[in-house]
Amino acid sequence: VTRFSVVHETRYRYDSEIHLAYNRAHLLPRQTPHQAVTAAALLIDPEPDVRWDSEDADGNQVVFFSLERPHHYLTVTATSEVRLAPRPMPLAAALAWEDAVSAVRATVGRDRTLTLDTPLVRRSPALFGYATPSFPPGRRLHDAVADLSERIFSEFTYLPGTTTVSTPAEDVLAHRRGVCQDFAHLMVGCLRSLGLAARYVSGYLESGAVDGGAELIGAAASHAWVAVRLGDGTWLDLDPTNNLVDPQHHITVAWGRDYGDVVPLGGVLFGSGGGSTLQVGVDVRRY
Amino acid sequence: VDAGADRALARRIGVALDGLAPADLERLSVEARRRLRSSGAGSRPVRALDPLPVVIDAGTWAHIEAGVVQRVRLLEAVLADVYGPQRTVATGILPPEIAFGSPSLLPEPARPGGRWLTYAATDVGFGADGTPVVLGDRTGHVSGLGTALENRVVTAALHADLFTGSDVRPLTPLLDGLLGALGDLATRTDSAGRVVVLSPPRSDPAHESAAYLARTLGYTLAEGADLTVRRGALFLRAIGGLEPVQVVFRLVADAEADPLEINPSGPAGTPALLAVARKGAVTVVNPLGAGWAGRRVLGPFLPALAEALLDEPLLLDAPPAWWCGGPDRAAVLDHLHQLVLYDVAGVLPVDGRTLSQAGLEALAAEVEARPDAWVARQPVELATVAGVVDGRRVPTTAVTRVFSAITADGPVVGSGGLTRQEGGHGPDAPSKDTWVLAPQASDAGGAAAGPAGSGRSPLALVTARAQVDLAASLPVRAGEALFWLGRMAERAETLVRVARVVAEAPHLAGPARALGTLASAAPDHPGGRDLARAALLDGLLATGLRASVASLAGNAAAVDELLPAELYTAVRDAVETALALDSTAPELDLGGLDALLRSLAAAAGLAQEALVRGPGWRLLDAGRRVERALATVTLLQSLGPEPDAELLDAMLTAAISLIAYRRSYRTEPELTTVHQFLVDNAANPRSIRFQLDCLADDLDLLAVGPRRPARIALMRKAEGLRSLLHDLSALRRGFDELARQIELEYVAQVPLTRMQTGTRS
Repeated sequence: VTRFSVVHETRYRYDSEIHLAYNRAHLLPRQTPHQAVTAAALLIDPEPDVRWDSEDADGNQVVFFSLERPHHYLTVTATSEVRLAPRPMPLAAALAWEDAVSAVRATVGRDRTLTLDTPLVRRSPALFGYATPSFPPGRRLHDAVADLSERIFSEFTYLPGTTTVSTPAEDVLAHRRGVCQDFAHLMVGCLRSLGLAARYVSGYLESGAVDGGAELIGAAASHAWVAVRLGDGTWLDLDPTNNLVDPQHHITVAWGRDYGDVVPLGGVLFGSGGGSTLQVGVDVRRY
Repeated sequence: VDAGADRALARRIGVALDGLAPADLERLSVEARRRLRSSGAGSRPVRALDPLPVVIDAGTWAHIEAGVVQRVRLLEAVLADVYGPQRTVATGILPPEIAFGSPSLLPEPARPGGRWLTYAATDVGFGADGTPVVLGDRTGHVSGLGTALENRVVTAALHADLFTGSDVRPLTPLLDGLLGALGDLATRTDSAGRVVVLSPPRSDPAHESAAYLARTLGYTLAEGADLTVRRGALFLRAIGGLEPVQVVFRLVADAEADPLEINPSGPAGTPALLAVARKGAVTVVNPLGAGWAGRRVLGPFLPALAEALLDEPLLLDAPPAWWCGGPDRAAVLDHLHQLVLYDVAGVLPVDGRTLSQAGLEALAAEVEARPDAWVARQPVELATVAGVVDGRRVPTTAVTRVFSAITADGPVVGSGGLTRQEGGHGPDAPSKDTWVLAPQASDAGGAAAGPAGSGRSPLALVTARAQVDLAASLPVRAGEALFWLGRMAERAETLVRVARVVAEAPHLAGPARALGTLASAAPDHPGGRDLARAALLDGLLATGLRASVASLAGNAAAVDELLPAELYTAVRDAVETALALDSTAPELDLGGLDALLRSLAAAAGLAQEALVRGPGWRLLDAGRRVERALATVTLLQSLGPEPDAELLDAMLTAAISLIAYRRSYRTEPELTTVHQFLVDNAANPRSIRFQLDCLADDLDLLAVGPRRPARIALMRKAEGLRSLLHDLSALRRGFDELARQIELEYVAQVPLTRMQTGTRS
């Protein structure tokens, strides 16, 4: 078991006074079969007028809060302690990828939704066409997704600032660049175009170099990756941004159909105009 | 009840309508236009109302009504299942692709305590053989009810004799049902429960129908920005402060309701509406997410759903439809050119009949790429009915939107509905009324007085419920528009009067100076007739006539549902007259200016005599008083040190005080007496003192709500200006400051702009 402590600070500074703000935060880590959350707290400064903590449709922790007095800044600090259990490669990953397709087709609940179009990810012939070379008939699911991940990693450029939160996967495919969120959407779209169930995962990487390797991309901020549903109903994490299959030390915060379900901190603000400055800092440490 | 007598009555009405000569139809069309124009919401072009109603006999209607009740029950059950246990998906009746593949299925809806549907609509047409066919269902936000109600009022008046003698079933039970159902929801938690009608913005053609419905039901009309979530509950932003809202009767789509959760890039809406609805602090009718059940892609599955959930076969026919995710795909692809295709994730259907060969191939490729996302439907050939287009009788198709209110006792189906041509379902599309005839007793025959029909006003509402005093409750947005409406109407009038004086006596410097100030002309403007023309005709002058009437029109349109039709018409006439003044003609159009002054005077008179003295009228009046006081100060300041009698005469004319002055003083005008008359004479309705008295009165009565102390202070400030009557410069500063503070306090308290934020990785 590896223990991590996480501090995720989001700091907005507004150029002019904000009078009213509504926010939804997906910033507190959820429990997963391999991840236990032993402590978690969300500090909001200024003190919100209303704060409601709840679980969303996927079982993620979501916090709604409103600030109803004039303010010039917002600082949201999520601190948590999580324990990650080692995960042996699931046996079902060694089965043919078509098994996972037919297995999810036999289900009728939320997992089945994850084979379909969602607001930010739409299946398409282009995505299908891009994915197909990695998925010859009968190939082991593990090998197929590893190949797809490797191709996205090598054929796409990590280039912040070229995409936005709502850039569709097809645009990412056309321009071959983006950030981790875009690569996650792209891979989710590829997997769903093949009939697999795929979800979007938001979370953290361990800061700094690990195991003597190079520092991972996305370690200084929150990160996004993908999970694919296996034939036995378990899920396998895939990180196309770092070309990792079943990463052992990714800390999961929340998952959903796409980014729109798990926006780390999203809000609607009312003020007299002007811009804002955003600073995000993530610190993940073993303890 | 006698089916023969039912049909005989329908035949008799049909004969009467068929017998209308082309000249009658022309007259009825003109009359319909006139009535729609004068019935209220006048800020948009008058929509087209076909004066020939569709007539449905009692027997046919009984079948439709039973079928509509069944569909409403079915869709309620489907919603409860798909947002609940999802048994119909688990048992394979509803494919997951159809159930879950649409963005209209919200992951976290606010689950209603009681039922999903409080109102709904069913679009019904008649096949070529006369059989009723359901062409669509509406379960989210249902538009068109206001239009249907207005069509009934107008059409009943157009055919007054025929209508009262024909035993047409009233729409009243539907409205009673709706009021009862909404009232029950409002009083569930709070005895002072308030219902608002949430409308799309004024720029949306559906706004007019929403406004008419709100007026008819007696609920406040609110746009998304009029509502605000505070301390975990929903409030109306009103002049008196925040007023709690318990029920939102929404006529806007999910995607336009709440940018915090549903559509971050969408319109402003009311952020956090879904969050407070989920907490139970407010009930949204129908709940966000309910529109899912009205999608056409459910068509192929409704017969099986009815069997499974109601244990009944569907009573009403619907066009045959097939899901491409199943074995029917090949057949659909073979007949694409004859079918209409619906995408589970999309909104607009694709009509294969209108596509080229290349278009069909592209569509086939799209279907092949995501077959489970597509449903195909066979178009129905509809029977034609008589319609009137441009005053001529032509055959048209007719699809009637039948509305239902769902009460504690079950669905109440409106007898009739909004009839439009097939495919013509935009809010601006021509529409007509629908007459459903009451069943006829076998011994009565003809137009026996049924219990429901004759002798009643077509929309007489019988349900009276405790509600918010609408005369005392005014959305802030409406207050702001009324304040500026008062200012702009007064400004336009002053500009015309002073410009006339300048045009008639161009050699006088005083009036020209005043006009230059009033219209914000450049200080070095040569003056004279050119200045008069510029003030009236130059659209670039910030406070010239054209800019003022443009603002007048915009502010009047923003509150048209609060204004009597005659007042609105007078304002519109003034605006049209002002904009029609010819800027190229060498001479000023004095006749046009006279007409303009008459319209403005009519508007001012109606504002005085036809509006309830609530906060809205007070703000309108305050705007007018501030503007008039400032204009009088400007006139007096432009007099110069030693004005002669001619100049004083001209000034009194500009201030419409010449005759009153002569009657008071019976001498040639002198500076001191003119000054006294226009400044300090409390009996002269043009004097500054008079404006101050009115303002103090208005501000006193506006001083309500939690901000009462600050508002009282504002009233005192107005009273304090009385001590400055000897000092024109101080008065100008005082009035400018007062106007600014009224605006800050009552209307644009904060110029709010929306920012959307979302952190990403």
